[in-house]
Amino acid sequence: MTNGWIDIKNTDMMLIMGGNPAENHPCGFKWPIEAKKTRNAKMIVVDPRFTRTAATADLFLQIRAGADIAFLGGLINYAIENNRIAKDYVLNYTNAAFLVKEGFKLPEDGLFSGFDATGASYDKETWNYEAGGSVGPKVENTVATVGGGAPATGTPNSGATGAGASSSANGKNAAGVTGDQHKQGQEPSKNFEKTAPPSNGKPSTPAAATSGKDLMQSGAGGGYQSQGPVGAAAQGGPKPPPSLPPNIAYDFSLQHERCVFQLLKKQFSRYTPEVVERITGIKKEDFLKAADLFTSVRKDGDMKKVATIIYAVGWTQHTFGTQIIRTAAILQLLLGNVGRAGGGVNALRGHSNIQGATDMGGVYEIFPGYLKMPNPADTDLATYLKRTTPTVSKVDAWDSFNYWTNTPKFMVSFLKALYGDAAKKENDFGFGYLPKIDRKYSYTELFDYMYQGKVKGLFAFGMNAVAIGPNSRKNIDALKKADWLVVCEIYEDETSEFWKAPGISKEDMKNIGTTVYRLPGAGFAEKDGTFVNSARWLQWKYVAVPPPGQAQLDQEILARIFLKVRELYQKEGGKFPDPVLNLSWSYTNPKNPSLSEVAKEINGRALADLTDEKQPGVTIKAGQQVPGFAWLRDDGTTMCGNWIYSGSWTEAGAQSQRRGTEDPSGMGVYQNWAWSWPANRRVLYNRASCDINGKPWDAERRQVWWNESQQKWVGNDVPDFKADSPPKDHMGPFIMNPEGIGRIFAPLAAFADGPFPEHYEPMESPIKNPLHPDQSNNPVAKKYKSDLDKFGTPEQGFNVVCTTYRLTEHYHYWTKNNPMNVQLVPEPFVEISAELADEMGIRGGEKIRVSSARGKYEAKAMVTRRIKPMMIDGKKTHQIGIPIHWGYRGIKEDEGKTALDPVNMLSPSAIDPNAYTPEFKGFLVKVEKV
Amino acid sequence: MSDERVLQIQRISGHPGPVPGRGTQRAVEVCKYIDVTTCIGCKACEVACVEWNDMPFRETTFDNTYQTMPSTEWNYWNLIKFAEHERDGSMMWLMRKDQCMHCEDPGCLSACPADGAIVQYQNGIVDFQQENCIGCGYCISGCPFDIPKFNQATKKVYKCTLCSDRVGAGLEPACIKACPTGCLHFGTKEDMLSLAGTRAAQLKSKEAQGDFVMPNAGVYDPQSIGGTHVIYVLHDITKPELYGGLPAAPVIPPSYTIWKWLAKPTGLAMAMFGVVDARIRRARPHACPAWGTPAPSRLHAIPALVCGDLLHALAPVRLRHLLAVALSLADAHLRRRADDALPAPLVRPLLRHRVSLPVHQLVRADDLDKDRQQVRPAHERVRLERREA
Repeated sequence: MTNGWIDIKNTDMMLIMGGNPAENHPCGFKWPIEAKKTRNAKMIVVDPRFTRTAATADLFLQIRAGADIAFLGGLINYAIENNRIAKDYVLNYTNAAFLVKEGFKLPEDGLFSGFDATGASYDKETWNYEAGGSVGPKVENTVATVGGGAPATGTPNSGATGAGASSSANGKNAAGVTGDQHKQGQEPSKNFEKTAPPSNGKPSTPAAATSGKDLMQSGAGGGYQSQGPVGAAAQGGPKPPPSLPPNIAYDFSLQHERCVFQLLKKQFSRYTPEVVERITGIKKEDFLKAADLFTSVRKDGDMKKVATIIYAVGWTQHTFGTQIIRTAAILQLLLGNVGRAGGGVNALRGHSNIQGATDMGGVYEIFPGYLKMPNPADTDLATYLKRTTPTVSKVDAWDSFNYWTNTPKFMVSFLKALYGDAAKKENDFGFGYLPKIDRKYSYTELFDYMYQGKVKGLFAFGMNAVAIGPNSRKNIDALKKADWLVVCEIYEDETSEFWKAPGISKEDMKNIGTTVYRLPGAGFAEKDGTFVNSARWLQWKYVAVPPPGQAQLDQEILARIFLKVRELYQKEGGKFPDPVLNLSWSYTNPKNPSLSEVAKEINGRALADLTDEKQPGVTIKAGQQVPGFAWLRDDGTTMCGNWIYSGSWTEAGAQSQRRGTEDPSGMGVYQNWAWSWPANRRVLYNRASCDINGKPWDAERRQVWWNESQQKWVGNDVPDFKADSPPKDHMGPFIMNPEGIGRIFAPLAAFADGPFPEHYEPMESPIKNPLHPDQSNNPVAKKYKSDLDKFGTPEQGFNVVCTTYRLTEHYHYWTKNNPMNVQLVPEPFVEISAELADEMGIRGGEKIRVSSARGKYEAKAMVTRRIKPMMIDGKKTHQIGIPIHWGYRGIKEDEGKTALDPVNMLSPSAIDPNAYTPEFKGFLVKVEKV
Repeated sequence: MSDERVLQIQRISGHPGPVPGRGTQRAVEVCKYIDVTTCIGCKACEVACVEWNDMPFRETTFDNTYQTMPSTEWNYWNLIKFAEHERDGSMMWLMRKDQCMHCEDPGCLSACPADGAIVQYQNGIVDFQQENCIGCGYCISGCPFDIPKFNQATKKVYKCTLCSDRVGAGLEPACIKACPTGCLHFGTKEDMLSLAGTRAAQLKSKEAQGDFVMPNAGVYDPQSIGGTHVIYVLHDITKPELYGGLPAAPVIPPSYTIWKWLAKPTGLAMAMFGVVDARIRRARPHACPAWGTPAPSRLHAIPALVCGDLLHALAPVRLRHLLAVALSLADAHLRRRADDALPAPLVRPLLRHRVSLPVHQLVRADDLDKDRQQVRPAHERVRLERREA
């Protein structure tokens, strides 16, 4: 979330799409309700089904699964056509005026410029800004004139600005970070004249970075200017990646045909209401009603009102999922809703700690704090830092903080946390110990390799690999080929008993040679530690009950495995024992480290006495917890497990344990409740809540503002900005981007599949893409080639669009083991429309078989009017929905009452090229009566 | 500890003579306000109810709906009713939390012949005292909302207590505590009516809602039964039936209202005989082919009903009145109760022994529910282990 749960209460308008918060986030859903009750906010829900969220909405539109970009693109077109955009905001806080390189081509035929058909990838050379200064007529109302000062604060850009190509697993949190102690940002801002500081495009070196004494952090969430995430971006040769020009050409009149705004206008001019209707199935008049309502916040140039967009995995789980979020981010930038209370692009995270998992590097291509994994070309630390530390790229008269300049400090501190005393300047702080990823290692890749026999073993901790992944049959067959499998769980699950899957006979079982080790883990209430919620709060939780029986705390299980492995390396040597032998493991109880110790390590501490010339008299003594990431150093005098969490456990204690309920502004900021990364900021990019002069757009919802007498940014929230950068310097509010502004056009390797979003059909679709039938799907979406990776077509009879989802009453694949939840919803079912039921001649409660090119699923039909057939490109199309919660282990399953296949027997391994999320929403099936 | 002022008795079922303490004070009337327009059907209230009241697992089956079961049950007092409607081409999915409405003029209490089986506290809560329940089932037919439900095993009737135990201790009911969206509110009736009225006015306001105004929004607090201590805000107050069959003008069946002061003592007496009768039959099941084999669950109630009907038929000749008065007087010496006695026991042990179930059946209902589904042994074991740990 760019904002937070409570902040939703400040909104005037909600678009809830690709998510079903009433059902899947019921506790958080109190805030949308609060907005309705206290502000008369309006709620638009767009979903393939009429959900429980829709039941409380003002306006509901049924959309075909997978048509989201068409809908959002239509909204963008509507906003531009009807002049319902935030002009000043767009001009000053986005790259609308920037010129794009000559040669860049919009995807009228479905392909952007630079497509390489053989590698199914793009050469992103032309996806870049043009260099040079102003090319257009001078426009008065842009700030301009002075720039200056060095960067001050940082914010990682979250999915909102569309940075995060690499960002999180499901593209949700591209994470925004900001530094807090910017207060110290001294940098007497020098007033340049029109001449921009000559950032000469030289990649910043660690030294250069440190010289910017500001210490703020900033992260480029994903859109580093250089080469993208190892996996996503070209795997190609050693050609040095193109970089952003330091001095970007621009036209503040927005008239130049190659300026981002004109390109955007052209790109989405094709998304007319008629086209939207053809693709999404939403009737033109209904679409126009929604478009009018949503964009009404900018009616007549008003800037006071705010609209928010709320989504979840209904957007991410597509082969173009990240681009759906991009489209939403562009729309919100156009409407000037990012950075404002009650606005933003808000990803609802579906597990209690999935945000924490992502922040801590739960995705293969990132380290904690969204630092990039090194690849084999990163022969030493300097090479790696050069590649991953962005340099400023901006418009001459403006200023850019470019917080990711501090990457070296974060990385070196992270290495110190990993290897302790073994990390020395002489050995590149142990950089050589780090694994270098030479290919993608996402979940689906791992199972594909295992299916090919290349991966021999798997640790599955707290994840039911068989049930959660796409194409379960392939996953089961892959596990059959593994030598060993270790499962740490609180129940016997589908993965730990994969050999019991339906369709495996007793005879077959004898031929399965996989050795399975089951480790009894502890449930969430049986251990302490932090949860990080969607609003980026780190909240400490306490043990409710001890783990039962032989169950052990996860950290104890991991620690004992590690110690045993280390012992083996000590005894037997091995190819490369150094990373294991040198790993820092200095916990009081090495066999069972306490999580508070680990949390302190994550926060980071000083390894030598630290002083800061900007804060004379303040010394952080060696061994003390650092107060925040601004104190991190790249010379090995600090250690920090995750820079964005730095500040969460300081000398003042565990900030995540704070439970202060003061809210002086009444805006639900609750600065003293838990701790929000980065630097306890509650709304990211909040500088954008003010106009260019530093005055809030809405005087009644004041977040931060420029205090002329104090000469700094102050407010109800922690300013997500360089605290002492005066408005006249025109520093961009999106400090994690090297440009300092929000990216309507995402240059270079920010995304694998295009700098603008484009509607592509799901990998399995009932129609050819009406925009470009010859390039129906995302050209760079990942597919696999095994014999079990099959795709169905309407011609083969697979003509029903199927989507999968969760129910309020169950939590993934756990609660089928809990009688109370089983009582609430006892059996699996398939939701189908009354019309489809009539066509099939079935009634509610009768069994039906759903089959895809990959597998089948049988369950009772829930016949409802909450789903309706739609006219898609002139063709009557049915949609069905299947909740995911069942499998072949659980109370009912064990009684033999509902033994069946996991629903993911049906779904395809087709992967988003940016976030590697499978396409669980919108694949093709056929439905038959059993 | 319960606050006696909060749970001061207002009315007692089947009770001749004055209610102890009645009129001496007036406690605040409590009320649950349910804003149906913000209910998301998450069922947290259902779970909270089951857990707070420690009710046993109940087998459910898929029934083409998100609704947990067709209606409330003796061990499921709180049920969200889901109803799909289409109006002017737009869909409505209505979710209404169904539970005891705690009527100001409770049909169940009016109908109940057993002394002290149903009480109404001055704060408006209508509470069943199972130890005094004779299982006649009159309350079931007396309820205009189809709420009280019979337990075959204990031969008693159960329903939502509005968490009188929690309210008595100054807490809100469990469902209120669990509600994530704040669609459930609890407080004084006055406050709740005010809140509900404000919300309804907001929904009706064109200025606030624009195109999405709900001109028929309103507060459901049916005056036909004197109002209720559970009130709703509905999108359309003119059609409460759409919300899972909420009656527009609930009434207590006329037979109960007309004869409630006369028929009940009679019924009680007859029920006493009926229970004795049924026991005899149960002891010799084959002796009475007319009733069939093993005593049907509500058998003991049937004689009372039969007698009641007979009396009803005799009403024109006023025999009923005479009989009723006589029986009441005959019964009076058995019922001498200390004036300060609180809800239960309202009936002397001797009487209780005769009119209600054998003592060995007065154990926890949970343990007697033969329909209870056994949790899979392995899960049960884990649960037990956890408990021990």
